[in-house]
Amino acid sequence: MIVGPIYLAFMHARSHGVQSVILTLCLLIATALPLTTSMLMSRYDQSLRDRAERTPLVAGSRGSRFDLVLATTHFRQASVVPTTMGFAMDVQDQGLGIAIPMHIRHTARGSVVVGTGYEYTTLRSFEYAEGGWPTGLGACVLGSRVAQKEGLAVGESIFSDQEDLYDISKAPAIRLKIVGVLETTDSPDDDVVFVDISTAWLLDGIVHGHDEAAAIAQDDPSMVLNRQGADTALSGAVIEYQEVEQGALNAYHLHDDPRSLPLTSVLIIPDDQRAETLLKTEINLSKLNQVVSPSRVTDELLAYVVRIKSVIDAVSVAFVATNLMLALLILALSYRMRARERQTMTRIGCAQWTIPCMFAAEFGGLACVGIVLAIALSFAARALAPELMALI
Amino acid sequence: MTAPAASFADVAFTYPERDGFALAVPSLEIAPSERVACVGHSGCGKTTLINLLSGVLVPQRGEVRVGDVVMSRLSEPERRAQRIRRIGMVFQEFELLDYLSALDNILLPYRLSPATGDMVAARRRSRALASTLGVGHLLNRKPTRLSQGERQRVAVCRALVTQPELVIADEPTGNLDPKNASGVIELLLEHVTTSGAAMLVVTHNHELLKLFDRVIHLDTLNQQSVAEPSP
Repeated sequence: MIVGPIYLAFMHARSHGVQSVILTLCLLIATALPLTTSMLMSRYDQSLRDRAERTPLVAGSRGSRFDLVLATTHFRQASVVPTTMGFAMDVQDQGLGIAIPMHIRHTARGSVVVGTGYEYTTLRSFEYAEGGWPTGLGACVLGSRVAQKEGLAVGESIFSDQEDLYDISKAPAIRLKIVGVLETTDSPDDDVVFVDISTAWLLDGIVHGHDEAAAIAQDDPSMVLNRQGADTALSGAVIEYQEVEQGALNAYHLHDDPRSLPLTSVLIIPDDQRAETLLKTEINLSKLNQVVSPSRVTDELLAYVVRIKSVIDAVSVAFVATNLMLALLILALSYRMRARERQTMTRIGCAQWTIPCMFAAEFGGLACVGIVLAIALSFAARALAPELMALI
Repeated sequence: MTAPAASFADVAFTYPERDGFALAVPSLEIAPSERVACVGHSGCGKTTLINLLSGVLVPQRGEVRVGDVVMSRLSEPERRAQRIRRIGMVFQEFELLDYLSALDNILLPYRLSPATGDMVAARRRSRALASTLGVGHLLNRKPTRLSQGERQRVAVCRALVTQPELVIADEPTGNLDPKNASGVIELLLEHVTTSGAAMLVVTHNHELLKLFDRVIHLDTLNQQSVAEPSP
């Protein structure tokens, strides 16, 4: 007959809601913290390694190799010193592998816009839920989570985020036409918007389109800053096109050398081991550029993470111990405060096991609730892991 | 001749850890349905007497019986089982549990031990008892929302719900004014008499003694009374 003590335990816990909630929270935190941390860390670790192993080489300007790799593999908008399209062309011209330009600077509705080439889709073995890779300027492909989050599909469009709303000299927001949506890949590719590399420069404002200079000068002479022969320098106040119309493609142009166009990095797929060694040697001899193996850099990065994890583990142990002690203190105080109730029960003639059972049922029940909630919380964290990964 | 509801025979008790107190009761019998008051000065052993009778304490010598059961020869679990089944207790401050409703307080003996029996019948009996004592409409209320008088009635219901052979009340009027004290005793006497149980009431209130069948003066009864240590 254990029902009686369980009933009394339940009634006491219900009646002393604050105490029960504190006790449950203590146990919830004591369980959830190490469980969730360990799970997220292992997921983070796995995510970094998987991605790094599927990325042969990353090249770019000299600077933090961690930033370079994370920017290229996980599209982190870190402060990577830009390299140039000329560097990518040089690597390609060596004939030792394929150089894929990467441009990671802009966002569209908060999602990172990645400018790259078609070769990237081959490297990542992309499959399309709808449509395909953009062939022209001003088009984009959405990662599966972006499409889901924004409720967008092929045929619709998405505006890039303007760098500075109040500075008219900056490139305007561009309407990007959606021509494809990727299948889910469970990788950072799900959370970005892909555009062709030329569209990335369009977002930079380097490639741009506007009405003929002569027409502008005729309509509003104040827009002309300078004339030198056939060349006309126009004011930054000239309104550029915000959408690439097929009929106006000829109006798009750039004023710089194509070799000087900026890139975040260059992904390199070497032909073989020998080509990889040659590329590494040659690029790393240069004072301006570097090439790194993402898996090696990731190992190095994770070694730091492991060190941080051991600190987190130590803090977790202290935290869990403190919470358990707090829970035990509450239990002990509750036991003492209920001395009179215990005496009454004894004098009425309760069975010897009734009082221990009652306390065990109350503490055990709250512990079960705390642990079940902790597991639910951990599962929720696991389900939200990609979003949490993005925060990390 | 009918067997007594409770009896002491050549009982001697001392607290092992405390010097200076001894209770010796050569003979004491309470007949079935008899209503007995126990009086005596503070520290003479009244609480010890009811603790011996209810099996909370065991005498070093002699026999304590409740009905046909020799309580003093039983093991602790057996004494608890006999106590909850055969004895109804009313405490000085009623000792209702604040987190239970009035009905659950009345049913407490059934929650505390499997020895008490069928819960369904007990629930029915509780409602009937509560109605008889005028608290039938308050069964869902917590004790904190009951008046002093209503709490007394609930405590009496709890003592009677197991249909005990003996009801022991430990100074149930201790904290009450004379009017309320008289009310509690009258309530107890009326309903204990109806149930057919014997009753032992420990009291300091001499004005109420006329309501009982018999009064035991523990100072006289206790042949070795020295002084009970203060609790």
